[in-house]
Amino acid sequence: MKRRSFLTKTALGLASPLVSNAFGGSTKLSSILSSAISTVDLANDHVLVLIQLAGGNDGLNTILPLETFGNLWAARNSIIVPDDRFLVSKLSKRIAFHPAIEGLKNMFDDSKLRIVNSVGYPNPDFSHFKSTDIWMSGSNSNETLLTGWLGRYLSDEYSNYPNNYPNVNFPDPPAIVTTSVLPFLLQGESSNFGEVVINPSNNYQLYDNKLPFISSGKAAKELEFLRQSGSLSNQYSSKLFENSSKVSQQKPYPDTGLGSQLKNIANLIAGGVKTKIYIASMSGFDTHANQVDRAEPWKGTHANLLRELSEAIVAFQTDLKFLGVSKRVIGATFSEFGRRVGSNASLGSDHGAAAPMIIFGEQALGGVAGDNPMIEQYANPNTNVPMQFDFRSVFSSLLKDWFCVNQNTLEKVFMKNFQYIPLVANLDCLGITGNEEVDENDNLVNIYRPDINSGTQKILSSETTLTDGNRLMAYPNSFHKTLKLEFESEGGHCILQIFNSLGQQIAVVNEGNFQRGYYKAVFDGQDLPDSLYYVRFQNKSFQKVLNVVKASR
Amino acid sequence: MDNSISSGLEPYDGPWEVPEVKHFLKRTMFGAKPNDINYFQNRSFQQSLQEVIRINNNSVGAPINTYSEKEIDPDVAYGATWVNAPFSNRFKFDRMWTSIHWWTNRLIHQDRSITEKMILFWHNHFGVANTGSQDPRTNYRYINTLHVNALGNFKKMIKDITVDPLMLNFLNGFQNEARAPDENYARELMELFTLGKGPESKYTEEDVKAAARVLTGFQFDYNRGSADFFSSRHDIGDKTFSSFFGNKTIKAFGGNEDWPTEIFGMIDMIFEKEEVSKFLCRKFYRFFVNYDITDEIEQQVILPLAQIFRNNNYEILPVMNALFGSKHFFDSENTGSMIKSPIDFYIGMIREMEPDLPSDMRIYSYFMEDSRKLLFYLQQHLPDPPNVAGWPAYYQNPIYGRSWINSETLKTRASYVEAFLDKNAKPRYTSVILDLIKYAGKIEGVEDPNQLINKVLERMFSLKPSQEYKNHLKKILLSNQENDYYWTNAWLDYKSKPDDENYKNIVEIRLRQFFKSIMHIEEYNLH
Repeated sequence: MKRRSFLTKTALGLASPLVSNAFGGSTKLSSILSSAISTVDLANDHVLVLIQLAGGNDGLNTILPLETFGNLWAARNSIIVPDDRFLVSKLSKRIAFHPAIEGLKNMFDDSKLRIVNSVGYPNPDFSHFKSTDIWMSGSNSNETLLTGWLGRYLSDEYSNYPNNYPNVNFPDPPAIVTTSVLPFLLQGESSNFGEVVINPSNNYQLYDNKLPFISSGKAAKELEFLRQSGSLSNQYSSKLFENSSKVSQQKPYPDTGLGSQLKNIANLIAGGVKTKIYIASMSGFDTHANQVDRAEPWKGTHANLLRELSEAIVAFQTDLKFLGVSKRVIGATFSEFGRRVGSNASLGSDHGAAAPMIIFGEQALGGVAGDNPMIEQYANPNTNVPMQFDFRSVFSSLLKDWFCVNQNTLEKVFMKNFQYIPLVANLDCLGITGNEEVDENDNLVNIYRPDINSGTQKILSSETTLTDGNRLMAYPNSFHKTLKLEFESEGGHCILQIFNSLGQQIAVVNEGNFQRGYYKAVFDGQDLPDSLYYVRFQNKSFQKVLNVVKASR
Repeated sequence: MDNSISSGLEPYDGPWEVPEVKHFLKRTMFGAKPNDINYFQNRSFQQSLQEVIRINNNSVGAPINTYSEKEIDPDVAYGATWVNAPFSNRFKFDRMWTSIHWWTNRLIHQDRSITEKMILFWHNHFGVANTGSQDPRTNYRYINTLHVNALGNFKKMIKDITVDPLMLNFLNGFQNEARAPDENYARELMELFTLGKGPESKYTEEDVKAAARVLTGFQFDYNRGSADFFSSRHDIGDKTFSSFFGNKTIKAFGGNEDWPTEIFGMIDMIFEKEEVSKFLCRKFYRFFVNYDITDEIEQQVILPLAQIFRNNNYEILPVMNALFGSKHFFDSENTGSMIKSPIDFYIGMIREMEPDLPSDMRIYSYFMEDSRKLLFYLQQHLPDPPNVAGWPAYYQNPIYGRSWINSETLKTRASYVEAFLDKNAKPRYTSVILDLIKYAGKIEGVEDPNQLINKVLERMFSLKPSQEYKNHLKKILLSNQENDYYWTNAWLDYKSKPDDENYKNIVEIRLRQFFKSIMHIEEYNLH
């Protein structure tokens, strides 16, 4: 069974002639065409995943600059990763990786990850809130904007949102947020472009009061907002649920907050959701105190955060590849600031300025943009890493190369023309990348995921007597996160499905021709709401259904 | 229709009927209980204002041991308080969680006063994550610090909170020492607690650094659970501030007992800036009235309120009296204009609907733990604001209160309503079920469907329902029949034989449908 590309190719045909005209066109022509181009922008099938590292990630404890390592050591010897612990890349001898992000280092070595050095903005602000607002709104340090830069970009693409959305051309949310609060980043003039999706299979349909109360003024505005949010939730949830249910198998992810967020994102992308922007987030990076273990400074709080980040990204990449969509996805991390060069007396570091950003994905350019920060001698606790790239350069370059956003729109979004930084390997962003053909063998090996570690099916015996009562087993019942399944095939076509209590199929755990034998599989149900589910097994004419209960709270 | 606000701080002299009483109670407490609405309706507005805008000094008890079911705490008997017991590493977290349960219970059982909402205001203002505590005694003490100062003097409160052990722990005060000052508290003291970051608030990075030096020297005492000052850890240089503070120098001193001179001297210096009063009055307004401060409101409400704050040397009570006693507060533009916070939504629902709560101490503690989790999933985990700036609803321009709402939180609100209304709903979340028959039975004239509909809507909603919606509710009560007596008979049958399961079911099924409609509609999220 081959996985097929399911995106239509119509948009590609539309794109090429318009583009070649537009770039050479007169001002008048290009303004007419710019709206047409906007449509084309969205018609490419690229996806951008932003991962917010809230609290101010210690960039100098993530990617270590080696030319001036001695000075860095002197400035932060209580927290620095010693040179016998850090990981040096094959590609660049000038930087080292924290040992907790070995996975990211491997991606860097494979040119699937690009480091942009010392990203910040002029006149850094050391308040979390102000600096977060600056990164999200794309403002200058001394100004306040009431919209986010992605909100402004999306206002251009989704005109008049949320009125008359979703619709045929835009069936899915403009942006999906995988934590519980909508970020300012997605704030437009009149509404936020994000839809929170914690669990794609939660398709709870809210009441829609067709007979609204009498209201005016401020109350009327809030009521309208509530009604709109509810209506979008109902429409988007059904669609997302339907799409996410199409994906029956995913590669394993670490059992962490970011792991499950990225897992859902991969699921939605592979399920055919047309959303192009996803925002995931991790917090806890405000490491003023005890960011490392005293005795083993390569371990501790910050190392754990970095490990969560790295493991989740690596699992995501593996899964995207398995799902055949890796070429369509680029990710980037960002944080409101880095930390000071020097450590403080609490085994921590205080609010700083610039820090590296990581751009990752099959089509990321690889390598390092910019020079390493030069750490001066005698750095004191107030020394900061100066900015080398403006964060707006990074984001506008991503919009340009990944979504083919034209210069006019970029200047509208970022208020001026920011320096271009090459970040993407394949610059042919117009048109459809399409889903990759997935190797059948790869599919077979992984589809059973019998136990997460071994990754292969286990045939207990091919001589087993076929007693009907034992041909399907599911345990533990109730289950917490994963449900173990065993089934017996007499040979021939088998299907193992999971249904929810409404009888809707939510997963196909296995389907295919199975030799006579006894098989084990694992169903990962950690994202499902607590409820009753049905496991159904069918082998030729035999079928059996078991009730299982998920109870995690 | 002109929606602009014309009223300011002049005393309110309008009607004092259910709509006004309810608006006043919903904003000063959590939900408006039917009994409380009656109670204040029978008093004058001035009497009501006086009774509600005060701090309850009655004993609110103390957190108790409900955790030692499996393992005995040798220092504290089951059901007894642990606040005076020695620190126990083994029971540290158990005790901390019961301090949250104690707090949650206070919200549900608040008396007729603004006390608990005021404490929540301050908790949001200071943003301390309680679960990061090193010692649960400091959690208890922190809540008490907020309680005793809640309507007291703000300057004194800042002084108390600056040396509060939970705050010192939270913002690295115990790591702040002369040889490596930690700026965490100093920065938030100016940015979030007093001056704000408005255009007129022009303190500098150097001011933050100087303030951090002033604050050096505290260490945590694990025996007593207190913060102790050590002059050996204190920065003994003079600290000079920027021109924003008139280039003031805070002089260094010598002994272990002299720290208040320096620290409180600096706080007094900060309070000389008018910005403190304006910043705080904007926060009061956004928390209690509405997030949208127009230029007009800034001029007519915020600035005069800030003037009152300063004239009264930062006493909080006169400010609250002026705000809640004003025409502006009762302006129709403000009623029903706020999206309920999760605490308003959930605690308000429990208080207004008055379900039977478990009487057994052990089972009650499970209910408190359920409640803590419910608030967590609704994105307002009582002990832990998401960061030191508090919940985004009160600071995140321009969305403010709208930040409570998204697809996920709307679904969560709805599924809680479902769980509390219907014992067959899945997931269960809690064993508590709203007793709808009991609730309705207390309504005078409940057998008349029109009366029932009007009374319930009048109590529960700040907005006016349309006639069509009332008709819709009546259809539910009458099972789509035309005549009122279908409901009347059903109710009277039930009253004549309350033990008859069949009669009871007929009434209960209709009431459940009725309340499901009411509590699921978008309007229920506004107050």
